[in-house]
Amino acid sequence: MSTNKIAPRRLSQHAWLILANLEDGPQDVLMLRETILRNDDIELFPSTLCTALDHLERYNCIQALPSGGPHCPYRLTHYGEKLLQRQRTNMRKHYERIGLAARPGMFKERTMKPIPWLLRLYPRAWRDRYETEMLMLLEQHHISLATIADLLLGALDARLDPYYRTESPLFALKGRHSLAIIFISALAAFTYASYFWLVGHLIQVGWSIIDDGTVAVGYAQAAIFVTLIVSCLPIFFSVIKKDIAARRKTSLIIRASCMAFPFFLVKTFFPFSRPELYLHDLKFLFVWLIWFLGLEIIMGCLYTTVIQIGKAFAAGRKKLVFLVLCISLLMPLSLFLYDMSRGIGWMAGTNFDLMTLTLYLLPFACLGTLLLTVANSEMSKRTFSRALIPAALLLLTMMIVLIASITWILTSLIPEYWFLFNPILGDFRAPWNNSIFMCTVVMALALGAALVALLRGLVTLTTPRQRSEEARLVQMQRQL
Amino acid sequence: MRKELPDLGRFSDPSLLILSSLANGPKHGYAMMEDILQFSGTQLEPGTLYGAIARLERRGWIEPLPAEDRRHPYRITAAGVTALREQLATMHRVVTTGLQRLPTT
Repeated sequence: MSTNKIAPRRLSQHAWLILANLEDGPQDVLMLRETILRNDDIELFPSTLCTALDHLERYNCIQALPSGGPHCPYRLTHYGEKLLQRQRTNMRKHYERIGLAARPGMFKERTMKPIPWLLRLYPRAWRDRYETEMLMLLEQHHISLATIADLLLGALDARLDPYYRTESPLFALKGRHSLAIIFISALAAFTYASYFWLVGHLIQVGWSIIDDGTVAVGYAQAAIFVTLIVSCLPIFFSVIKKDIAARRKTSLIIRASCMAFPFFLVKTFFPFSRPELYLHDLKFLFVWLIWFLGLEIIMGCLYTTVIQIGKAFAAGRKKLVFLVLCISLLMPLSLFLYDMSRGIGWMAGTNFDLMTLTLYLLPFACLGTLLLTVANSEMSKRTFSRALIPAALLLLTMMIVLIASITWILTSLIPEYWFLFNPILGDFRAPWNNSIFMCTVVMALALGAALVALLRGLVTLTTPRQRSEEARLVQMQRQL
Repeated sequence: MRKELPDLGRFSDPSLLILSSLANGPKHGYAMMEDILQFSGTQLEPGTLYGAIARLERRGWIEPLPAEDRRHPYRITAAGVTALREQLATMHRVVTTGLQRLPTT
C-alpha cells in the first residue's frame, strides 16, 4: 500500500465529490457516476472519473476492493476519511468567517459609505426633514446599484421641486429680470462667438471654399436668428396692445409707418403690371407672400426696438441704451465694413442688398429689444413664460451649433485637414485656430449659463414654501 | 380610464401603495417598504419612497407622528382616506369592466 500523502488543496473538485460520495459505502465506477449525478447534479465523463479515481488511489485516499464483475468497487481509506473531515472543518471555518464578518459588518459598512455623500445631493430643506430617518432606513435596506440610481433620481427630483428651493442657491439670482438678463447676455456671447468662429474658419479655409463646417454653422446661425425674431414677437404684440389701449398717437404713427413699409417695397418690386407672371404660378406667389410676411415681422421687431429705446431714454437709462446699441450694431457694422472692404455689398455699389443688411441687423436688434424690455421691467410673468418657449428652442439650436463646431474641430484633426493643428510642425498653423478654440470654449460656457438661467426660469422663483410663509406672516400681522 | 393622482407624476403609483399600506395603521419607512413588498410584490427603493412620502405629506394625505427612535411613523389622514377610496373605486371599476369584457375561453 502506498504511503504517499497529499495536501488537501491539491485535490480537484471532482476528487472531493468522489470522496464525499464514497463516504456512505463502497461503489463501483458506474454506481459512483450515477450517485454524483443524483446528489450533486454533476455529470462526470468516464475518462474524468477514472483519472480522478486513479489519482485518489495513488495517494491512498481510496482503495479498490476485489470483485468478480467487470468493475471493481472502491471504498474510502482511513486517510481519505481523515482528509475529508479536515476539509469539512476548514470549509466550515471559512464560511463562518465569511458569514460572520461580511454580512452585517464590513459589507454593510462599505456599501453605506457613499450614502451620506449621495444624501448631500438633496436640498438642505429636504435633508433637514428626512435625512435622519432615511439613513436609518438605508441601514436596514440592502443597498444595490438600483438603490443608488434611485437616490440620484430622487435628489434630482427634489432639486427640481420648487418647494425645496433654498433662499441662497448655487447660482443665486435676485429675480426674473436678472435671470432674463443672464440668459440674453449668454445668448449674445454665444451668437458673437459663433460669428467669430465662422469668420475664423472661413479665413482659415478661404472665403471661396464652402465646406460642410461653413454650411452647418451658417444654417445653425440662421436658425438662431429666426428664433430670436420669434422670441421678439410676444413682446411686439404686447407693446401694440398697450399702445392701442393707451391711445398713444406718436407710437401708433411710428407703428403704422413701420408696418406700411413692406407694402411700399412690395408695390415697388412686385410685378403688378404683369399679372401673367404670377397668376398661374402659385409657387411664385407663395415666395412673395413669405417675403412680405418676413418683412412685416422684421419691421415689427424694429418698431419694438425703437419703442423700447425711447422708453429706456425716458427712464434715464442712457448707459443701457448705449450698451444695447453696441451689442446690436457692433457685429452688423463690422461685417458690413468687412464686406465693403472686399468690394461686395451695398456700399461698394455692386449690389443693393437689403435682405443682407436686415439679416445683419435684425437678430442683434431683436437681442437688444429683449434686453431693453427686460430692463424696462415690462415683461409680465405671462410674457416671460411665453418667451421661455422660443428660449428653449434657442437653447436646442445653440446645442446643435456647439456640437457642429466641436465635431468640425475634431474632424479637422484628421491628418489630411491639418489646418487646425499640425502635429508634425507641432504648432497651430494660423492664429485663427486659437480663436476658433476660444470661440468654442466661449460658446460652451455661454450655453451652460443660458441653460442654468432657463432651468431657473422654468422653476417659479417664488416657491410654494415662501408663499406659505408669507401668508403665515400676513396672518400673524393681522392677528396682532 | 384611471385618473392619475393629481400632480404626483412618477410618484403616483408609489403614493397609492403607501396610502394602501398606511390604511391599516401607522408605519415608519422601513415597515412600509416591507409591507408593500409583501402585499404587492413591489420593492420600493428609498429614494422613490421618500419622494412619494414628501409629496403626500405636503398634500396633507399623510402626517408624521412623534419620532420613535429618530424616525417618524406616518399616519393616513382623513383627506388621504378619501383620496385613496376614490382612487381604488376608479381602479375597481376598471378591473371589473376589463374582466367582464375579456372573452372567456
